[in-house]
Amino acid sequence: MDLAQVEDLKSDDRLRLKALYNNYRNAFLHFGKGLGASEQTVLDIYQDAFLALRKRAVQGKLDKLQSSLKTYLFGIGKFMLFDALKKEGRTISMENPLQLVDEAVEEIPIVQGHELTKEQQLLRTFFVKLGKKCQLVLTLYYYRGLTIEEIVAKTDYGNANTVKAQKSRCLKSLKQMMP
Amino acid sequence: MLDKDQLIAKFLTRSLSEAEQLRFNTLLSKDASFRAEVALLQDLNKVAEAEDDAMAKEMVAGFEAEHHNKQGVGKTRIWWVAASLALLLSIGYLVIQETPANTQKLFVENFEPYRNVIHPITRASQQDDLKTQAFAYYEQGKYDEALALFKKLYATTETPYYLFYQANALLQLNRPKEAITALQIHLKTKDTLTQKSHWYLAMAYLKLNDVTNAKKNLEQVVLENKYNVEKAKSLLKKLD
Repeated sequence: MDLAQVEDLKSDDRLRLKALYNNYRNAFLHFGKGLGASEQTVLDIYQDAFLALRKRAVQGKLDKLQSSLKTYLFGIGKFMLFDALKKEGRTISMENPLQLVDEAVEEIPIVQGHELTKEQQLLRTFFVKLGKKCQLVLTLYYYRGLTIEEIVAKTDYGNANTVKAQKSRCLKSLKQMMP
Repeated sequence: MLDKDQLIAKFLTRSLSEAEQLRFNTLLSKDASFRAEVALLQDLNKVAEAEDDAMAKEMVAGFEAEHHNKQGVGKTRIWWVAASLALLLSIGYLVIQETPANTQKLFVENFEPYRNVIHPITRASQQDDLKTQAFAYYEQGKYDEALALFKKLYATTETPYYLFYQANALLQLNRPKEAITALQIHLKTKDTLTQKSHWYLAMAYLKLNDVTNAKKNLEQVVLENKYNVEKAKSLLKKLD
């Protein structure tokens, strides 16, 4: 597993993410078309697979991965492609001798997230009103699971106390907005 | 030892150790305010996730769109080469024929509906809202349908760029008088697209065979020096 690439996925750095995205795009296009899907379908799924990959990285689930990032990404993509083709009522013939499968790609099932509840949708409108700085701190701490020290390293806050104070202030503001 | 907040954060990201999990469960069962805090932060976790997903989705759609834009630019370049050749040929033809500038010909050679820079239709925009539908019709060249929706959207939101896109659609539909009206209202608003308004007004007047007003607007385009300046200058020469 290429740790630098996992860090890129976690980074929010648009250029690094774009480089990764472009790195595997053509190979995936070739792979998907080889399974019998149309170009548009493959591209749609590539985006979804890439997003699913990024989400796993961001949630810390790729830190101990053994296989290569490419295999993992393609595994997600394969699962999604099969799913999409099934919905279209088509099956893939894996015995077709013209198929080119360069490596054994194991499917990696992705479960789609649930819709937000009514309370969560309401909270979202307040969250968005908090402004970017608050959203960032709260997201890093309560979603990405970064420690205070890690947040200091990742942002331009000077020290741990500043981060803690900001986090408290933002959470307080959020609570005050609620009915 | 972790404080309550740290404990909850670890719970949310499923990284509690066994001992920590035990402590968490105890607090949850005994401490009502802790329970309330956990409930709120669980919701916050989901909201942050949804926002993060939305941001990432838009970013990735942007990456994909860049691949298609590159193709688009190639096509646009070819179009402009063809259009320039057509222009050169027609100038040559006019010179030989010694006829006055044909405004309709000039309109056809110079008018191109302004591209959709407001709400690019990408894979991410699968919403059924009016705005997406309107711009999707516009991009597909369904100007009648786009026009109807832009009018509705302007009526409800009063956002100026809808007027600008109405005018573009109207010009495509050969209704230059209405286009002029829309553009004149739009000009008053001074939104970012008003830099292009005078060019499109010139196009509309060309369509109406009103050379005087077409020239007036082209001169304004040159004066403002922001958009299609060279084209305006060369058109002015042809209209003299």
